[in-house]
Amino acid sequence: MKASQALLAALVFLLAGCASWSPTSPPADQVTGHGALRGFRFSGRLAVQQPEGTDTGKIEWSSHGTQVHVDLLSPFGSTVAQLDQTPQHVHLLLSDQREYSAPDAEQLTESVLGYALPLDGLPWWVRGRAAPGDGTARLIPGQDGHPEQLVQAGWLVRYGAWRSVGGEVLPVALSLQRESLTIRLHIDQWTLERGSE
Amino acid sequence: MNLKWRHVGAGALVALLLSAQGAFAGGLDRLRAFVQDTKSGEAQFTQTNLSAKSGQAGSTSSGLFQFSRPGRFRWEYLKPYPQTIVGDGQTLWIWDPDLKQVTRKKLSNSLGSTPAAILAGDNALEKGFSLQEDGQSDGLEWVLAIPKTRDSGFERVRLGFDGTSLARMELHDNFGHTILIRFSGFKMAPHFAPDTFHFTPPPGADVIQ
Repeated sequence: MKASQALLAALVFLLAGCASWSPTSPPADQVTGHGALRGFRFSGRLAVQQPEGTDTGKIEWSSHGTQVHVDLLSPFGSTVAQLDQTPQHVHLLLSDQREYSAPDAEQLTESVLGYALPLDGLPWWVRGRAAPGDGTARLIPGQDGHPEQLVQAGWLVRYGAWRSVGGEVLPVALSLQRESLTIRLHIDQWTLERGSE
Repeated sequence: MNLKWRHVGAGALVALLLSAQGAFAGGLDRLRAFVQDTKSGEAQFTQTNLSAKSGQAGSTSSGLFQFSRPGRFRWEYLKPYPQTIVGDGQTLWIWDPDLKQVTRKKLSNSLGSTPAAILAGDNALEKGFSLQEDGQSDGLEWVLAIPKTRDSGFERVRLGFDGTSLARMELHDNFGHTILIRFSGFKMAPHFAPDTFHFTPPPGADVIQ
Protein backbone atom coordinates (compact mmCIF):
# COMPACT_ATOMS: atom_id res chain seq x y z
CA MET A 1 0.00 0.00 0.00
CA LYS A 2 1.22 3.43 -0.82
CA ALA A 3 1.36 5.81 2.06
CA SER A 4 -1.41 8.34 1.61
CA GLN A 5 -0.65 12.00 2.09
CA ALA A 6 -2.72 11.92 5.26
CA LEU A 7 -0.73 9.05 6.74
CA LEU A 8 2.53 10.67 5.73
CA ALA A 9 1.51 13.88 7.40
CA ALA A 10 0.86 12.00 10.60
CA LEU A 11 4.08 10.08 10.42
CA VAL A 12 6.21 13.08 9.75
CA PHE A 13 4.42 15.01 12.43
CA LEU A 14 4.88 12.28 14.99
CA LEU A 15 8.44 11.50 14.10
CA ALA A 16 9.55 15.05 13.95
CA GLY A 17 8.00 15.69 17.31
CA CYS A 18 9.26 12.65 19.12
CA ALA A 19 12.57 12.74 17.36
CA SER A 20 13.27 16.21 18.60
CA TRP A 21 13.45 14.76 22.09
CA SER A 22 16.92 13.63 22.95
CA PRO A 23 18.81 12.74 26.12
CA THR A 24 21.03 15.78 25.63
CA SER A 25 18.11 18.01 26.59
CA PRO A 26 15.84 16.05 28.89
CA PRO A 27 13.04 17.84 30.69
CA ALA A 28 13.88 18.31 34.34
CA ASP A 29 11.38 15.78 35.67
CA GLN A 30 12.90 13.03 33.58
CA VAL A 31 16.16 13.52 35.39
CA THR A 32 14.98 14.20 38.90
CA GLY A 33 11.58 12.52 39.01
CA HIS A 34 11.27 8.80 38.56
CA GLY A 35 14.80 8.51 37.25
CA ALA A 36 16.30 9.45 33.95
CA LEU A 37 14.50 8.13 30.90
CA ARG A 38 16.88 6.49 28.48
CA GLY A 39 14.25 5.91 25.91
CA PHE A 40 10.73 4.81 25.26
CA ARG A 41 8.79 2.57 22.96
CA PHE A 42 5.18 2.51 22.11
CA SER A 43 3.07 0.58 19.67
CA GLY A 44 -0.39 1.63 18.75
CA ARG A 45 -2.82 2.66 16.10
CA LEU A 46 -3.43 6.01 14.53
CA ALA A 47 -6.15 7.56 12.44
CA VAL A 48 -5.65 10.71 10.43
CA GLN A 49 -8.19 13.16 9.08
CA GLN A 50 -7.35 15.84 6.58
CA PRO A 51 -9.46 17.55 3.92
CA GLU A 52 -7.54 15.38 1.42
CA GLY A 53 -8.81 12.23 3.06
CA THR A 54 -8.59 9.86 5.98
CA ASP A 55 -6.29 7.01 6.66
CA THR A 56 -5.42 4.62 9.41
CA GLY A 57 -2.56 2.36 10.33
CA LYS A 58 -0.33 1.04 13.06
CA ILE A 59 2.71 2.70 14.49
CA GLU A 60 5.70 1.20 16.28
CA TRP A 61 7.92 3.77 17.88
CA SER A 62 11.31 3.23 19.44
CA SER A 63 13.58 5.91 20.90
CA HIS A 64 16.82 4.84 22.46
CA GLY A 65 19.51 7.34 23.32
CA THR A 66 19.68 9.63 20.33
CA GLN A 67 18.46 6.96 17.90
CA VAL A 68 14.86 6.88 16.77
CA HIS A 69 13.27 4.18 14.70
CA VAL A 70 9.64 4.26 13.56
CA ASP A 71 7.64 1.76 11.55
CA LEU A 72 4.37 2.84 10.06
CA LEU A 73 2.24 -0.16 9.10
CA SER A 74 -1.00 -0.77 7.28
CA PRO A 75 -3.88 -2.14 9.40
CA PHE A 76 -2.83 -5.62 8.22
CA GLY A 77 0.70 -5.03 9.40
CA SER A 78 2.64 -4.54 6.17
CA THR A 79 5.20 -1.77 6.35
CA VAL A 80 4.16 1.48 4.69
CA ALA A 81 7.06 3.66 5.77
CA GLN A 82 10.14 3.44 7.92
CA LEU A 83 12.04 6.20 9.59
CA ASP A 84 15.48 6.37 11.13
CA GLN A 85 16.95 9.33 12.88
CA THR A 86 20.31 10.16 14.41
CA PRO A 87 21.37 13.58 15.68
CA GLN A 88 22.88 14.36 12.28
CA HIS A 89 20.38 12.87 9.90
CA VAL A 90 16.77 11.85 9.26
CA HIS A 91 15.94 9.24 6.66
CA LEU A 92 12.44 8.28 5.54
CA LEU A 93 11.85 5.30 3.26
CA LEU A 94 8.43 4.54 1.77
CA SER A 95 7.20 1.17 0.53
CA ASP A 96 7.18 2.40 -3.07
CA GLN A 97 10.91 3.14 -2.63
CA ARG A 98 10.57 6.90 -2.43
CA GLU A 99 13.22 8.21 -0.05
CA TYR A 100 13.67 11.46 1.78
CA SER A 101 16.67 12.68 3.73
CA ALA A 102 17.15 15.84 5.73
CA PRO A 103 19.50 17.12 8.42
CA ASP A 104 16.61 17.34 10.89
CA ALA A 105 12.96 16.50 11.30
CA GLU A 106 11.71 20.02 10.76
CA GLN A 107 13.28 20.19 7.32
CA LEU A 108 11.91 16.76 6.54
CA THR A 109 8.35 17.99 7.06
CA GLU A 110 9.06 20.75 4.57
CA SER A 111 10.30 18.42 1.87
CA VAL A 112 7.70 15.68 2.38
CA LEU A 113 4.61 17.76 3.09
CA GLY A 114 5.52 21.06 1.53
CA TYR A 115 4.97 22.95 4.75
CA ALA A 116 6.50 22.98 8.20
CA LEU A 117 4.64 21.97 11.32
CA PRO A 118 5.60 23.13 14.81
CA LEU A 119 6.38 19.85 16.49
CA ASP A 120 8.62 20.32 19.46
CA GLY A 121 5.89 19.65 22.01
CA LEU A 122 4.95 16.18 20.94
CA PRO A 123 7.28 14.15 23.18
CA TRP A 124 5.64 15.85 26.16
CA TRP A 125 2.07 15.82 24.83
CA VAL A 126 2.14 12.13 24.09
CA ARG A 127 3.05 11.59 27.74
CA GLY A 128 0.36 13.94 28.98
CA ARG A 129 2.45 17.04 29.71
CA ALA A 130 2.93 20.51 28.34
CA ALA A 131 6.31 21.22 26.82
CA PRO A 132 8.34 23.31 29.26
CA GLY A 133 9.43 26.91 28.70
CA ASP A 134 6.21 28.12 27.12
CA GLY A 135 4.07 30.41 29.29
CA THR A 136 1.19 30.30 26.83
CA ALA A 137 0.49 26.58 27.23
CA ARG A 138 -2.88 25.82 28.81
CA LEU A 139 -3.45 22.51 30.56
CA ILE A 140 -7.05 21.81 31.49
CA PRO A 141 -7.40 19.07 34.09
CA GLY A 142 -10.30 16.63 33.99
CA GLN A 143 -12.30 15.24 36.90
CA ASP A 144 -9.90 12.33 37.32
CA GLY A 145 -7.00 14.72 37.89
CA HIS A 146 -5.33 13.87 34.61
CA PRO A 147 -5.17 16.47 31.85
CA GLU A 148 -8.30 16.56 29.73
CA GLN A 149 -7.11 19.10 27.20
CA LEU A 150 -3.87 20.80 26.37
CA VAL A 151 -3.46 23.82 24.13
CA GLN A 152 0.02 24.62 22.94
CA ALA A 153 1.77 25.86 19.79
CA GLY A 154 -1.47 25.98 17.83
CA TRP A 155 -2.39 22.39 18.70
CA LEU A 156 -5.33 21.16 20.73
CA VAL A 157 -4.56 17.87 22.44
CA ARG A 158 -7.50 15.95 23.92
CA TYR A 159 -6.93 13.02 26.25
CA GLY A 160 -9.20 9.99 26.59
CA ALA A 161 -8.00 7.01 28.60
CA TRP A 162 -4.93 6.64 30.82
CA ARG A 163 -2.93 3.68 32.06
CA SER A 164 -0.35 3.19 34.76
CA VAL A 165 2.96 2.06 33.27
CA GLY A 166 5.92 1.44 35.56
CA GLY A 167 4.83 4.01 38.14
CA GLU A 168 3.94 6.64 35.56
CA VAL A 169 0.41 7.31 34.35
CA LEU A 170 0.45 7.63 30.58
CA PRO A 171 -2.19 8.37 27.97
CA VAL A 172 -3.53 5.50 25.93
CA ALA A 173 -5.99 7.52 23.87
CA LEU A 174 -5.39 11.03 22.62
CA SER A 175 -6.17 13.23 19.65
CA LEU A 176 -4.07 16.05 18.27
CA GLN A 177 -5.73 18.74 16.23
CA ARG A 178 -4.33 21.71 14.36
CA GLU A 179 -6.41 23.54 11.78
CA SER A 180 -7.83 20.85 9.50
CA LEU A 181 -5.44 18.08 10.53
CA THR A 182 -6.55 15.66 13.24
CA ILE A 183 -4.51 12.69 14.41
CA ARG A 184 -5.98 10.16 16.80
CA LEU A 185 -3.68 7.83 18.65
CA HIS A 186 -4.54 4.70 20.56
CA ILE A 187 -1.49 3.31 22.29
CA ASP A 188 -1.64 -0.43 22.88
CA GLN A 189 1.71 -0.77 24.59
CA TRP A 190 4.07 1.59 26.40
CA THR A 191 7.60 0.67 27.42
CA LEU A 192 9.82 3.05 29.35
CA GLU A 193 13.54 2.51 29.67
CA ARG A 194 14.95 3.96 32.85
CA GLY A 195 18.41 4.48 34.28
CA SER A 196 21.46 6.16 32.87
CA GLU A 197 23.86 4.76 30.30
CA MET B 1 25.67 -36.68 -28.77
CA ASN B 2 24.21 -38.25 -31.87
CA LEU B 3 20.71 -37.66 -33.17
CA LYS B 4 19.31 -40.88 -31.77
CA TRP B 5 20.42 -40.16 -28.23
CA ARG B 6 19.08 -36.66 -28.42
CA HIS B 7 15.63 -38.06 -29.24
CA VAL B 8 15.79 -40.49 -26.39
CA GLY B 9 16.80 -37.68 -24.07
CA ALA B 10 13.90 -35.48 -25.12
CA GLY B 11 11.47 -38.33 -24.79
CA ALA B 12 12.69 -39.13 -21.31
CA LEU B 13 12.36 -35.51 -20.32
CA VAL B 14 8.78 -35.31 -21.58
CA ALA B 15 7.90 -38.53 -19.77
CA LEU B 16 9.46 -37.22 -16.60
CA LEU B 17 7.52 -33.97 -16.78
CA LEU B 18 4.26 -35.79 -17.48
CA SER B 19 4.71 -38.16 -14.59
CA ALA B 20 5.68 -35.33 -12.27
CA GLN B 21 2.53 -33.43 -13.19
CA GLY B 22 0.35 -36.47 -12.89
CA ALA B 23 1.69 -37.55 -9.53
CA PHE B 24 0.10 -34.73 -7.55
CA ALA B 25 -1.83 -31.52 -7.98
CA GLY B 26 0.78 -28.81 -7.53
CA GLY B 27 0.25 -25.51 -5.80
CA LEU B 28 -0.75 -23.73 -9.00
CA ASP B 29 -3.47 -26.30 -9.72
CA ARG B 30 -4.77 -26.00 -6.20
CA LEU B 31 -4.74 -22.22 -6.41
CA ARG B 32 -6.75 -22.33 -9.66
CA ALA B 33 -9.20 -24.77 -8.12
CA PHE B 34 -9.51 -22.55 -5.05
CA VAL B 35 -10.29 -19.47 -7.17
CA GLN B 36 -12.62 -21.27 -9.60
CA ASP B 37 -14.48 -23.62 -7.29
CA THR B 38 -14.71 -21.65 -4.08
CA LYS B 39 -17.02 -18.79 -4.94
CA SER B 40 -17.57 -17.99 -1.30
CA GLY B 41 -16.17 -19.16 1.96
CA GLU B 42 -15.13 -18.39 5.47
CA ALA B 43 -12.31 -19.38 7.79
CA GLN B 44 -10.81 -18.48 11.13
CA PHE B 45 -7.39 -16.95 10.89
CA THR B 46 -4.44 -16.46 13.20
CA GLN B 47 -1.93 -13.87 12.13
CA THR B 48 1.62 -13.48 13.41
CA ASN B 49 3.78 -10.55 12.44
CA LEU B 50 7.51 -11.25 12.49
CA SER B 51 9.97 -8.49 13.12
CA ALA B 52 12.41 -7.82 10.30
CA LYS B 53 15.37 -7.44 12.64
CA SER B 54 15.02 -10.28 15.10
CA GLY B 55 12.76 -12.57 13.09
CA GLN B 56 10.92 -13.09 16.37
CA ALA B 57 7.19 -13.24 16.62
CA GLY B 58 5.75 -9.84 17.36
CA SER B 59 2.06 -9.31 17.65
CA THR B 60 -0.42 -12.13 17.17
CA SER B 61 -4.00 -11.46 16.20
CA SER B 62 -6.94 -13.59 15.20
CA GLY B 63 -10.40 -13.36 13.77
CA LEU B 64 -12.73 -14.37 10.97
CA PHE B 65 -12.30 -14.04 7.21
CA GLN B 66 -15.33 -14.22 4.93
CA PHE B 67 -15.44 -13.70 1.18
CA SER B 68 -17.70 -13.86 -1.81
CA ARG B 69 -16.22 -13.54 -5.29
CA PRO B 70 -15.73 -11.25 -6.98
CA GLY B 71 -14.09 -8.90 -4.57
CA ARG B 72 -16.35 -8.85 -1.55
CA PHE B 73 -14.81 -9.71 1.78
CA ARG B 74 -14.93 -9.15 5.50
CA TRP B 75 -11.72 -9.46 7.52
CA GLU B 76 -12.63 -9.13 11.15
CA TYR B 77 -10.04 -8.99 13.90
CA LEU B 78 -11.42 -10.14 17.22
CA LYS B 79 -8.18 -10.32 19.24
CA PRO B 80 -6.24 -8.57 20.68
CA TYR B 81 -8.58 -5.73 19.74
CA PRO B 82 -11.61 -5.56 17.48
CA GLN B 83 -11.19 -4.10 14.02
CA THR B 84 -13.38 -4.61 11.00
CA ILE B 85 -12.21 -4.42 7.40
CA VAL B 86 -14.88 -4.76 4.73
CA GLY B 87 -14.54 -4.71 0.96
CA ASP B 88 -17.96 -4.28 -0.63
CA GLY B 89 -16.74 -4.50 -4.21
CA GLN B 90 -15.98 -0.81 -4.65
CA THR B 91 -14.93 0.55 -1.29
CA LEU B 92 -12.60 -0.63 1.42
CA TRP B 93 -13.94 0.22 4.87
CA ILE B 94 -11.83 0.06 8.01
CA TRP B 95 -13.54 0.50 11.35
CA ASP B 96 -11.55 0.74 14.55
CA PRO B 97 -13.77 1.15 17.63
CA ASP B 98 -10.86 2.32 19.82
CA LEU B 99 -10.00 5.11 17.40
CA LYS B 100 -13.71 5.76 16.72
CA GLN B 101 -12.93 6.41 13.09
CA VAL B 102 -14.16 4.84 9.89
CA THR B 103 -11.69 5.02 7.02
CA ARG B 104 -12.92 4.64 3.43
CA LYS B 105 -10.72 3.96 0.46
CA LYS B 106 -11.24 2.98 -3.12
CA LEU B 107 -10.73 -0.75 -3.23
CA SER B 108 -8.77 -0.60 -6.47
CA ASN B 109 -6.14 1.56 -4.79
CA SER B 110 -5.62 -0.75 -1.89
CA LEU B 111 -5.89 -4.20 -3.41
CA GLY B 112 -2.31 -5.15 -2.92
CA SER B 113 -2.24 -4.11 0.67
CA THR B 114 -4.81 -6.56 1.89
CA PRO B 115 -4.50 -10.33 1.91
CA ALA B 116 -8.30 -10.41 1.94
CA ALA B 117 -8.59 -8.49 -1.32
CA ILE B 118 -6.00 -10.72 -2.96
CA LEU B 119 -7.88 -13.84 -1.91
CA ALA B 120 -11.40 -12.63 -2.66
CA GLY B 121 -10.69 -11.43 -6.18
CA ASP B 122 -11.64 -13.32 -9.30
CA ASN B 123 -8.33 -12.87 -11.02
CA ALA B 124 -6.50 -10.49 -8.70
CA LEU B 125 -3.68 -12.97 -8.21
CA GLU B 126 -3.15 -13.78 -11.88
CA LYS B 127 -3.49 -10.13 -12.85
CA GLY B 128 -1.25 -8.57 -10.25
CA PHE B 129 1.30 -11.31 -9.59
CA SER B 130 3.65 -13.64 -11.44
CA LEU B 131 2.84 -17.10 -10.14
CA GLN B 132 5.04 -20.14 -9.87
CA GLU B 133 5.19 -23.48 -8.08
CA ASP B 134 7.13 -23.30 -4.84
CA GLY B 135 7.36 -26.92 -3.82
CA GLN B 136 6.10 -28.86 -0.82
CA SER B 137 6.68 -28.24 2.85
CA ASP B 138 4.72 -28.79 6.06
CA GLY B 139 2.43 -31.10 4.09
CA LEU B 140 1.31 -28.21 1.89
CA GLU B 141 1.71 -27.36 -1.77
CA TRP B 142 3.07 -23.85 -2.15
CA VAL B 143 2.71 -21.13 -4.74
CA LEU B 144 5.07 -18.19 -4.93
CA ALA B 145 3.42 -14.95 -6.07
CA ILE B 146 5.63 -12.03 -7.01
CA PRO B 147 3.89 -8.69 -7.57
CA LYS B 148 4.24 -7.21 -11.04
CA THR B 149 4.52 -3.68 -9.63
CA ARG B 150 6.11 -2.28 -6.50
CA ASP B 151 2.87 -0.58 -5.47
CA SER B 152 1.55 -3.65 -3.71
CA GLY B 153 3.87 -3.08 -0.78
CA PHE B 154 4.93 -6.73 -0.90
CA GLU B 155 8.11 -8.23 -2.24
CA ARG B 156 6.58 -11.71 -2.43
CA VAL B 157 3.63 -13.68 -1.18
CA ARG B 158 3.52 -17.43 -0.58
CA LEU B 159 0.29 -19.41 -0.50
CA GLY B 160 0.15 -22.90 1.01
CA PHE B 161 -2.66 -25.29 0.07
CA ASP B 162 -3.67 -28.50 1.75
CA GLY B 163 -5.84 -31.10 -0.01
CA THR B 164 -8.96 -29.01 0.11
CA SER B 165 -8.22 -25.34 0.49
CA LEU B 166 -5.91 -22.52 1.42
CA ALA B 167 -4.16 -23.26 4.70
CA ARG B 168 -1.42 -20.64 4.98
CA MET B 169 -0.33 -17.34 3.58
CA GLU B 170 3.05 -15.63 4.03
CA LEU B 171 3.41 -12.01 3.04
CA HIS B 172 6.90 -10.55 2.84
CA ASP B 173 6.88 -6.78 2.63
CA ASN B 174 9.52 -4.55 1.05
CA PHE B 175 11.14 -3.96 4.45
CA GLY B 176 11.90 -7.55 5.42
CA HIS B 177 8.86 -7.79 7.65
CA THR B 178 6.84 -11.02 7.41
CA ILE B 179 3.16 -11.65 8.09
CA LEU B 180 2.16 -15.28 8.63
CA ILE B 181 -1.49 -16.19 8.39
CA ARG B 182 -2.92 -19.62 9.24
CA PHE B 183 -6.44 -20.44 8.21
CA SER B 184 -8.55 -23.06 9.96
CA GLY B 185 -12.11 -24.32 9.96
CA PHE B 186 -12.55 -23.47 6.31
CA LYS B 187 -16.18 -23.61 5.11
CA MET B 188 -17.22 -23.41 1.47
CA ALA B 189 -20.38 -21.51 0.53
CA PRO B 190 -21.50 -20.81 4.09
CA HIS B 191 -24.66 -18.94 4.88
CA PHE B 192 -23.79 -15.27 5.29
CA ALA B 193 -25.81 -12.70 7.20
CA PRO B 194 -27.30 -10.24 4.67
CA ASP B 195 -25.09 -7.35 5.75
CA THR B 196 -21.82 -9.31 5.85
CA PHE B 197 -20.29 -7.42 2.93
CA HIS B 198 -21.95 -4.08 3.57
CA PHE B 199 -20.55 -1.65 6.02
CA THR B 200 -22.84 0.66 7.93
CA PRO B 201 -20.91 3.10 10.11
CA PRO B 202 -21.89 2.68 13.74
CA PRO B 203 -23.44 5.61 15.59
CA GLY B 204 -20.83 7.99 16.95
CA ALA B 205 -18.18 7.02 14.41
CA ASP B 206 -16.44 9.68 12.39
CA VAL B 207 -16.76 9.03 8.68
CA ILE B 208 -14.99 11.33 6.31
CA GLN B 209 -14.64 10.55 2.66
